[in-house]
Amino acid sequence: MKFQGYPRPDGKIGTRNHILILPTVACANETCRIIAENLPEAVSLVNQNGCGEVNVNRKITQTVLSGLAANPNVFGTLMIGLGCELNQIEDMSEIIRSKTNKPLEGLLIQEEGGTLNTINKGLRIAQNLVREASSCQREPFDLSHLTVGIECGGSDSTSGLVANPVAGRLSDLLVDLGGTAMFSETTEIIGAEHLLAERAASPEVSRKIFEIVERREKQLQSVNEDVRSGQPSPGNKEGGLSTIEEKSLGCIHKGGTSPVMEIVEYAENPESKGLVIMDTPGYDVLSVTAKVAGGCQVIIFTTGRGNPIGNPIAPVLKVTANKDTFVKMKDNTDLYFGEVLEGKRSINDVGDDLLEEVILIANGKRTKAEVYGFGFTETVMSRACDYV
Amino acid sequence: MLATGLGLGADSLRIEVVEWVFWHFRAEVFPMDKSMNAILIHNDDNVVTTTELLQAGSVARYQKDEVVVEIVSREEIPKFHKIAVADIEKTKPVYKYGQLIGEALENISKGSHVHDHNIASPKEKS
Repeated sequence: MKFQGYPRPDGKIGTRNHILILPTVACANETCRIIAENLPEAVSLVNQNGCGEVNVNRKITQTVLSGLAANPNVFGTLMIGLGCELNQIEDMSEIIRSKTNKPLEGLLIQEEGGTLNTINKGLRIAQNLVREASSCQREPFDLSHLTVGIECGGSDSTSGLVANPVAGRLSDLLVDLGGTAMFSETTEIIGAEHLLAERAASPEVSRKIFEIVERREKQLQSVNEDVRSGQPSPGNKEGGLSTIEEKSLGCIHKGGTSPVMEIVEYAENPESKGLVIMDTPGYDVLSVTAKVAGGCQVIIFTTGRGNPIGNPIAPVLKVTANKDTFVKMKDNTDLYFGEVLEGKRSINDVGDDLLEEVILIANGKRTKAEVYGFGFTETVMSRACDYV
Repeated sequence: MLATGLGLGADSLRIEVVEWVFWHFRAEVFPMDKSMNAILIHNDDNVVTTTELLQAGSVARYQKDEVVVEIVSREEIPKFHKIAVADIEKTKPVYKYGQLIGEALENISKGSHVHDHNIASPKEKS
């Protein structure tokens, strides 16, 4: 079983062939947007950060941005900064270079002399990158080159009953084929961590599963908060989920039954293949961004209530087992798994179909969120504390 | 099976046990019989999930092993919400997926709607 992807000079394989116009600070967002809007296959994103941040937050900014630039779906990156910001473009360049040897360019608005000059020069640079990218051809690769991120958002009871187990079946199939399945959302494993820990591939991984849960709970306690004041959401509750424990027990089905090989730090790349868990909050836009920064080339997004979000770099495939949601939010939802609840098909059968669809998406078929061009405003990153 | 493939030795048994607990409901529950309108995920559970809106006094029908079990709902139960299949005393555990999902905030009678008005996370209360 193979998919058709774009080989990159760093040995990774893309499912898309984007040029990333990357704002290294919020002050460059609009300039990047204008450049990206004027070139095919060029994408950009809203970066709220890059300045006015303490070291711990700057590191988060740099990890996420460099991870996005290094994602295999990106052919090359044009960074645009302002000049005076904390996140200096030379530092960003060095961090991206430590992750990938793909084409990388940079401009500073203060150095170029304003927006118009930067756009002018940026368009010329990006135009060349687009032309170089367009000469790349898709080639067949084993699924061992694929890292699929599995997200659940707007969950209801059907998520834990059907949609997440189907995604879990896909995860198991992909792992058996040598690929990598990554799920995240640490706050949504609270109450189910013991089940994941028992599946840990080593005592170290088992210990880390408990550690990331404790770390997130303590972080919230440090500001006198409890995860339960934000979880489950009103929509989760309307959909029948009463407690975070109930939500979590449904959520972790996304990881199938494979051993947990690694706990990946927020927005970092995994070192292992197989099933891995990234430590992120459960906030969907943030968690998807982190997984894409961690190298996922395709995202599967299970939902009960329905959700429109996308990502500028990776295709986001929406799946649901709730028929009412599928009918009501058909233009946002790619696949319907409700035949399982209707007694027509088994979870494994539907999971087998999902793998086929993921391969089609990897080969270039667009998801509904992708057709809308969604994602530009939907890259969100964690903050350890307020801005300074 | 995966564990064995990875040569994890003694750990593999543990993983198989978890797999069984975890995936028990896949084989047993799905595909579900169309005449059922509620799902029991695990035999240890004291709640089932409805697959349609149940009016007060209507019957929730679910399968436990090969047997069809019927309970009368004491109140309206929204679609995909939980209904108690046993009396649950105040402070006692509520199980779904064979796992603890919360504790009863009040005495919950069999046939009642089980949700955030009458159950809460164990940690939330401590």
